[in-house]
Amino acid sequence: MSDVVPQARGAIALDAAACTSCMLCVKECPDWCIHIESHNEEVSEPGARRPRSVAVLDSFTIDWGLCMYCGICVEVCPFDALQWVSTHDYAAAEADGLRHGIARLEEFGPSDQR
Amino acid sequence: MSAPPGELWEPWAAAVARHVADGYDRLDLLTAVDRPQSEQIEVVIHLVRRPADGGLDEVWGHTLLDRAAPVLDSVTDALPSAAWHEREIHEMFGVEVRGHPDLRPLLLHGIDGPPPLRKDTPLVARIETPWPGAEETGRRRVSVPGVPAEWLEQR
Repeated sequence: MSDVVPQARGAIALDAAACTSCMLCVKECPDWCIHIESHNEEVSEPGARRPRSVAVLDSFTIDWGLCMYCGICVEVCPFDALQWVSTHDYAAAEADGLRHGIARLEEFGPSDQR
Repeated sequence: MSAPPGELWEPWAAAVARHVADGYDRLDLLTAVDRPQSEQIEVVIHLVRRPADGGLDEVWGHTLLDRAAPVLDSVTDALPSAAWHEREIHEMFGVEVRGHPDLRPLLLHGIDGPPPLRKDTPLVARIETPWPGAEETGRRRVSVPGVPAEWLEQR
């Protein structure tokens, strides 16, 4: 990974633990290349009067075949769950290989930038 | 939307030819912008000159066409490399290019329909593809960024 400028927009890494499934990135994406599936779970905490509803991320997919690397998703994420990384060597032989789920998006991280 | 720097060049082809004669003979950009609010199509050119002592001079020129019946004078006499770009403007914006040597289709072979880069030309993929940001819950209508509401009503 030498010869890549430090601020290269190579890929976008996901920190799934930071993601709250708020859908802001999905809604702002001009290319419609991000898909999120989530469900709500009730969490009971000691001392709390009633259980809290928490969104749980089921799937998070970026289709690099559609992405134009504009970075709007990175900018709108209120929880820094999306970060630029300079990794760029993830070409695929078929279109489906460019659709990365949580596991592959997390492998890009942590960010080597900033 | 802010316009690139530069002046209106009238008449267009003569102004381009004058700049080419003045040494601005490298064509960097020639394209169009659809401006439906003012019922115009704007044509933009960016020419570059390399002075002998190094450095780079640049100049921007614009012209405005009537959107209902846009006609552009070709600049290929002065700048042969503009031919390809004018073909693209013809095809993508529906502009008649007067005096162009060859206006055969460039990319849209066998595709009929309104010029694709006019802002009121619906993007079929944006109408047929379900928007991933749509949520099932709630009756609130959500606006889809970059997609006019009337396109989505065609679903």
